[in-house]
Amino acid sequence: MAYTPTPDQKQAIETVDRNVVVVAGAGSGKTRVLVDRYLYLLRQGVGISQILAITFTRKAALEMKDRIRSGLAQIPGLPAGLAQEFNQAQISTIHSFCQHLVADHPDRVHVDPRFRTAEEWESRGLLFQVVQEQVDWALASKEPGIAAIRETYRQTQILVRDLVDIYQRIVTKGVHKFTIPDRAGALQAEVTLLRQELRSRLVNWLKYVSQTKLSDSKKLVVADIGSLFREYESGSGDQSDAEQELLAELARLFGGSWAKDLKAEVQDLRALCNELRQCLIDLDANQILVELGEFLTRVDQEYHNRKKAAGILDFNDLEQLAVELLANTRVDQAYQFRHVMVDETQDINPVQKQLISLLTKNPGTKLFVVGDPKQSIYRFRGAQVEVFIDLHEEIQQNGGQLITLKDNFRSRPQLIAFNNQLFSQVFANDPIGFSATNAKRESTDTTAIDLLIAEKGENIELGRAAEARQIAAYIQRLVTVEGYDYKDITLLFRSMSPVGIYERELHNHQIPFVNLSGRGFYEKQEIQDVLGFIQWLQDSANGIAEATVLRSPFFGVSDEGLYWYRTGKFDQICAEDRDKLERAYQLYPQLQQELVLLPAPQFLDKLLETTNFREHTRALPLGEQRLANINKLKETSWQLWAKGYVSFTEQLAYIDQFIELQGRESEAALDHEHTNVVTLMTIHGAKGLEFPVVILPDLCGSIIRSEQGSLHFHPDWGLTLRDTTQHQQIKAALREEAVAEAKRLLYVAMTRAKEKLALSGIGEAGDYQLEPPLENLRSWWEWILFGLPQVDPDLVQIITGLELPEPIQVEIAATAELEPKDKPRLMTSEQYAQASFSATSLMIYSLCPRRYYYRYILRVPELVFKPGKVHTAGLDPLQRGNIVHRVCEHLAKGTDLEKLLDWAIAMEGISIKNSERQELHQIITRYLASDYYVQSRGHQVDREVEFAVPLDRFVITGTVDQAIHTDQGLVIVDLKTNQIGADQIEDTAATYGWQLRIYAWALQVMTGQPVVKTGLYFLFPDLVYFAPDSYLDTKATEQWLTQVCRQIQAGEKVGVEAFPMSADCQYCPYDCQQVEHTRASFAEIVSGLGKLEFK
Amino acid sequence: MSTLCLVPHPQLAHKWRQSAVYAHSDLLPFAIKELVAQLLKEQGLPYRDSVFLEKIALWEAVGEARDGLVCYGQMADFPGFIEDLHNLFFRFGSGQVSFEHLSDPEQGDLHLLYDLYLQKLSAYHVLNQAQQLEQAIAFWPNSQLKQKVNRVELYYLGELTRLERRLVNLICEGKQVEHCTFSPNDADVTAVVAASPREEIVQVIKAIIGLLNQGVEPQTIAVVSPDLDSYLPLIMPLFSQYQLPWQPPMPKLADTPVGKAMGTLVRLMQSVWTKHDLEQLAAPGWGLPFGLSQEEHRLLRIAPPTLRSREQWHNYLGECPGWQQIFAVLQTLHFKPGFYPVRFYTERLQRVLAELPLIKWPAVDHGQWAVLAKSYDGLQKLLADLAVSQHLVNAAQFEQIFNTALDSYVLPQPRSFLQKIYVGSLSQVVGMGYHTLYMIGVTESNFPKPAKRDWLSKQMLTSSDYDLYRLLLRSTSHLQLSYAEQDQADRINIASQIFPAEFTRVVPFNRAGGYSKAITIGDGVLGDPAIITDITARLQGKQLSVSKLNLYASCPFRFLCSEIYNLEAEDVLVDDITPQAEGALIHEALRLYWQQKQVVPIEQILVELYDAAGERLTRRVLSMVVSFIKKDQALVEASGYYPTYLEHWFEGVTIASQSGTIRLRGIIDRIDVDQDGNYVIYDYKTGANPSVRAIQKAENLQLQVYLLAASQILPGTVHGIAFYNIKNSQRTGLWMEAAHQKLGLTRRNAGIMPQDEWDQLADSFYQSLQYYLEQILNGYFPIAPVDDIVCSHCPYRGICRKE
Repeated sequence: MAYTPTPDQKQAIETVDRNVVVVAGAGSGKTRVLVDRYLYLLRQGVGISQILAITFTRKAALEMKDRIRSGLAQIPGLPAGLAQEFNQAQISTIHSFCQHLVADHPDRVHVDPRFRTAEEWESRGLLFQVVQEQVDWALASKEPGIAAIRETYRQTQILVRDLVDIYQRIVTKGVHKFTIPDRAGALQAEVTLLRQELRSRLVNWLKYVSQTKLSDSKKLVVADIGSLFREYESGSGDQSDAEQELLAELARLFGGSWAKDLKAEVQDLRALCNELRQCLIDLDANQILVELGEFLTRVDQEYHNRKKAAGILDFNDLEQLAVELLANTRVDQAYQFRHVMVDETQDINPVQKQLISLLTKNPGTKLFVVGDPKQSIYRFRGAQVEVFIDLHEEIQQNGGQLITLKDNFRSRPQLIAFNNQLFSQVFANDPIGFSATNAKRESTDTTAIDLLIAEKGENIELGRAAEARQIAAYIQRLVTVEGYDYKDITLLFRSMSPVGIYERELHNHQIPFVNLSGRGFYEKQEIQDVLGFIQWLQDSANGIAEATVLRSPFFGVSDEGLYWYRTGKFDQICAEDRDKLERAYQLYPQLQQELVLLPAPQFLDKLLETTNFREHTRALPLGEQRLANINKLKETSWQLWAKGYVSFTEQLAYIDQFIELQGRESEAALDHEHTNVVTLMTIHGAKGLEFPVVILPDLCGSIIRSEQGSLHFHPDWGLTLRDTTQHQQIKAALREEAVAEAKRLLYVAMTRAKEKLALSGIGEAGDYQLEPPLENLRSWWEWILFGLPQVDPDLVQIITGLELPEPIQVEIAATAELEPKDKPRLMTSEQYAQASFSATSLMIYSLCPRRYYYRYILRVPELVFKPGKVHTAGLDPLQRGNIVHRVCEHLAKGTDLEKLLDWAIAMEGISIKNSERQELHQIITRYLASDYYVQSRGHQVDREVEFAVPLDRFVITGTVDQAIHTDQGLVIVDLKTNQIGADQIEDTAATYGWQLRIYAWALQVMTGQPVVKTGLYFLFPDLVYFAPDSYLDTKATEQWLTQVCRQIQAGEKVGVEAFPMSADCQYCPYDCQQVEHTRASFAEIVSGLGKLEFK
Repeated sequence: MSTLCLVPHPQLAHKWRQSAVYAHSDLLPFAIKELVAQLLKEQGLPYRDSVFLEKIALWEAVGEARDGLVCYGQMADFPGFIEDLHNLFFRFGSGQVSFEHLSDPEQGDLHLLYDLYLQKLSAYHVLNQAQQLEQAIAFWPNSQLKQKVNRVELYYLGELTRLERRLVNLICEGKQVEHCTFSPNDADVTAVVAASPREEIVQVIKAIIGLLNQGVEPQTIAVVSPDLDSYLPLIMPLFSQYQLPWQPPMPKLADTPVGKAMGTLVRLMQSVWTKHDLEQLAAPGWGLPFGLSQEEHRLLRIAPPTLRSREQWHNYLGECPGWQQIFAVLQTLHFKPGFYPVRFYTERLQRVLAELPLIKWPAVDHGQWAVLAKSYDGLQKLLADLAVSQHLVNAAQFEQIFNTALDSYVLPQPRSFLQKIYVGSLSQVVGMGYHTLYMIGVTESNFPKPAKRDWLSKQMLTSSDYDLYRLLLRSTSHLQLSYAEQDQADRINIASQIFPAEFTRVVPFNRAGGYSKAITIGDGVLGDPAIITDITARLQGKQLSVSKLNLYASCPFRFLCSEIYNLEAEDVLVDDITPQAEGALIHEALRLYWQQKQVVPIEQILVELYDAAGERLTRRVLSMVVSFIKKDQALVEASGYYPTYLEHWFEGVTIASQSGTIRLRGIIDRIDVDQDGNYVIYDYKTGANPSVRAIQKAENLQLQVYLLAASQILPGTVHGIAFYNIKNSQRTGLWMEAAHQKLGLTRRNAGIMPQDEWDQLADSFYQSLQYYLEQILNGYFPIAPVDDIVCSHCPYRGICRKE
């Protein structure tokens, strides 16, 4: 059916001449409106670069982009190239927009141009470090305020955590000023006044009561008051704690019932005691708070410096910096849009609003905001629904238009009717109000709302367990009776802390599920098993890790087996367990070695492969999910490897820190389209999504969470300490805000359902005191029970006592198949590529195949290889040879010798001593004066003659130092810089035999000219050696080359064994014993992990 | 005469050169960069080509000019600034960009930096790419190559810089020039969408295996991605798993054991030493090559996480011989913080390296030894390069420079003769003439990349991805585009603009929900009669403490792990006082207070005890105990039960069952006795009191055992047994109804029992203790924690497998 916008939608799409605010309820098609408005603007001739669209999530941005792109194709007559230009379209999340803005102007805000946005847990880790250091410093320098706060904590670590939390809470609210005004003077004055007043009134009162008739018990009380007052009077006055305690005691004594004539004054005195006590608390707190403000300012500065140094920014920084940049007129010019569209505006914070204002300050810019105040649920991230309401009003006051989208295209009419009736009560006292939405889908007969009422247990835990059982039974009924698939069903949780109970019951009832809530991944048993194995390998004495592994599917040792093993009575172990233990102990040393040697992900592959752990795990309940988790662990390990966390030491440290800093890592997501499982997730995670069936469990959970710790903050009252006056105000305000947000969260949760909604709680209306106002009730369940009488009873089906019979045992093969039967397998053998070999490398092979293997197969360089030798400065023979060679090669060009020498040394990347330079100079000068040099100048000499000659499947390459043209043919000479004596020439020359043969062969084939002589010129004894004529036998050379190249090629599959050592080690730069030495070093290092003994 | 072919990249030139050799053809294929190198070599021009030294030169230039920079002074310490400057100066040198449109101060800064940069380059004998090109342009007219060539073929050279264009024009002058295409036709294009990157790769692997099985040569297949870095972590394991012929990339020096160890050492040149740094430095195989003992490793594992300074670590680990070796190395790198030349740092590192020759590093086979040797050699080269710099930096800045160097040095690949599938970047497959090219990760944000504004030059850097795509279409017969709907971080993706409208959706295998039969791991019940005999013998031979028995009540399996398997958890040390130590001090203070008949104020007792223990008495503890004593004293005075037995040790309390007898021992915190000899048993708590229900249901056995013990010590009647909370003065327990008023309780208090129930209390307690004993002696240790809290801090969670 073709889509036609409703009149409201049409108005929202086409009103482009003024600012527009759209209030769009759940399921009202706002994304469609945004997309169509964008396309409408394009049709009106607005350029892509003139439109900015800001969405709440990356997913929303991409979805919008995708839909606009599809829409573009359907618009006739749009300018050519528009689709390509659309690649540049500014459709992004607010943070992505800010990120681009900052990346475009790093110099204006002084950040590293290659900055990256830190993950939340990562920046929290950095903050922890900073706070820890600042606390250490403050305590060491005896800062009284921090020391005083420390006194109220059991451990410094807990104080650090609280300080981190409070800093983040403050910053999230957009506050960046931490200094707190010093109120000591005012408070001290108030204390003095109150003390005076209390004293004088108490004196009078005591005098008065002494003349009044009192009961015996009251006489005792008055006597106590009198003695306390005397104690109070005699106090030094500088011990605030003692004074506070006395005042509390006095207030307590003034409590209870008093005679009529005394009552009023006693009440006043009691109030006075409390007031003075409160004032003293505030005075004490003031001093601490002032210091705390300075402390947090220091933390803030240091934290910023650290982030700067690490090249990271967090989301708050991005927003702040973007505001700073847009306020700068030079920057601002590049960011002037004609149309700015903002989605999900109900969740913006004050800084984001400021950003939007800056983007739309140009009168020509039209703002289009979409939001639904009832869906503002990100208070904990700093979102303030009031910001949206203000914006909303501002737009209207300035001539903008308000459009409300009231039609709901998502849910069945019964669901909409239920929500309308319930939420008109829930939002009755709320400033954001509630207006009903219109159902646009067709109605069906079946009920859409099920109220699942579980029996109250003895305690919360038992009640929840009963509730979870009923939910499991309900899900089975949905599937077996009503024909839903598991994948249609989603459980939405407000908080994931009780989720374990529900998971357990789903598990018990064999309902497949996946928990997408985040956290928990590293706590999954299969992950613990793997990590436990690594810990065991890292420390053989770690008995807990050992028992974890032995008892896990890695080996499956029985409890009895473990008993005998742990008590050292190995002979008692039964044969089956003995086999398992023996297998474990055979694998252990091998795996321990691999743990040490391999990068973490490679080791993980080995571990899983060697132990068949994947197969075993898949055979466990929820095997598919477990297997996916293991795969995810592997992939995570590779991802960490790509980030530079290579060894397990690094990866485990990363994971530890991740967990400690409450990073969220969800279980591996199974592909929902193809996986028939129930989904468990948070309501926040479900924002913007819709599901056929939504179940809301745990509705009895408390709406209000108690505020922990000594430090508290609210943007209206600032930072304060527990028990101060401000703290009372903050507590009340936070409670009010939490209740308001809970209403909105419930609204979001309930409006996710398309077909069916199940609300689950414990106990019936009679079990609760459902007194109005609704705001005083403590749970969502109470709200629902409270509102139910006003709801049409036909809409709701009440379900109680739903039970399932014992779980059905499904028998499936113990080792499930890991991969499909048609898993592709390679049927072909390996094939060789064309290969080239250099003459030098083949010469080396002729001398020693092992040396060839090191240098040309493993590509191990030669420079460093004499045991214990480390090159720090000066020349070694190889470098000397290189320099001399380089100079000699270029001499013919007539370059200045000194310059040439400078260059040749520089090319070697070293600096040398004067004496070494003189030595080089002498060698070269001698060469220039040599007979050989003088004689060769009489002929045409080709230098550095490169060749590449094909042979069989190979190419033989090389560079001939000098090819001298003579009348008879070519004479080939290779320069050598070896420092040898004249008597060593024959032997040394023999080692270069194959090099000369190959040169002769190659030049003859390449040039077609005969080679008449091959020889070597040794610079040091200054002698020329000419090889025997047999070297010119090209056929023999060709035969040898073919055979050797084939040998080398085939040797790749064999490895080192195919490259035996030869006897000639005199000039070999490698020490074959090196590998043995490093093996010994390895054994020593691994011994620190410990060995196992089991016989 | 020859034909000079100019091609877009060296890999293609290499491939064609090899073919030319076999074909004995006169083609001379060159990528521009190679041609430049050839011309410079031919003329014997002395120079070094090192991007690393170029960056060092830039660090130096920026450092030197810092104070004179008007606009960029504050950017001087950012590695990203150096990188961006490097790119800018390359483009500036190549004539692609000018500074004219920038403000005067910006121009001034950039010219100043550029001039300094060139000076530094010259000092290092380095020619950057632009300089090399300029030289090549100058050399061409007289080059041998020019004489040799009569014809030039130009193959889609892509976007050329101004200098490159000049060179190409010069080369073409007077020659026969032909503009060539790689292939006459565009490739067949297919497209695939997968649910995840993993599915996407698996799908590509399956397709490749299909091709190979059909006889297609591996070297005619390539897999490329505009986002290869994200895909490599998946390609690495999956290609290996399916045994595809390909060459995984070699590690960077930073990711080798030698690189890791040196990187950590450099980090430790700074004053703060974290536990993690030392763990890394001592990590077997990945740290310094010293064989630490198991105990030396353990000491580090349990070290307090708050240790930071050199001195603290020396104090903590300095006695261990293994750690002494490590500290000796660190001593070489110890110097007063400040600014020193880069050379200063590198010389120290060279000294360390000299102390740790190659043979000291671990490897077990030739392959690993080769990696080790290559990384060791790489490190030496790198230090030698750095050692020429006199640039003044502090330790943190040196760390940045050093890490950049480690990160940019990739070890050489071992040689392979086998055909391989190419996995790499898009630009390197241009013109290669593949049978099939798999282009993965073709998402909207990855390809084509949108034009980007360069903050330094303030110019838009246009993307040439569309052109690149057109070249790719002519570089293969078949092209398969694919992307994953969700990336590795579960974020959604949408298709690139080049993605065709029709595509295949990959359906992953094996995705049925449901259950399989579980394999049995064990339930904690030890049925072997020999074990039962063994356990009985073990337990009867010793006295069991109350807290251990309590452990059984909280979870029998935990008792099994702790007491029967004797598995001990390794706790990390903390600087602050532990809750256990604090509890002991408070108990002792309360004991002394009552024992000394309240003569010495509790404050004084606490201060003296904490002083003697070397612990710090906090206000929190002081006020908690003072407030407790105050209320407790009032209670004692009002009730007439006086604390008489304090921290009372008992042993030999026996419990007999059918399966055997065990003896219990323990300490009763306090027994208050009234003048008639009646008594109340208290156990102090600083955490939450167990509930009355837990006491009645014997989920907590302490009070039961104390009652049993006290009845063996004292002749009178027990009036109450309770947990006494020091934090809030709450007493939770069981009370004889007749005494409750005297004990200061009201009827509203839970746990008040009528006489008949009270009289049976001892019996019922004894029975529950017998029950537990019976269970233990019969090897019954089920995984049955009383609540989730027991599990939350249980060290044996991994063993029991309760989920």
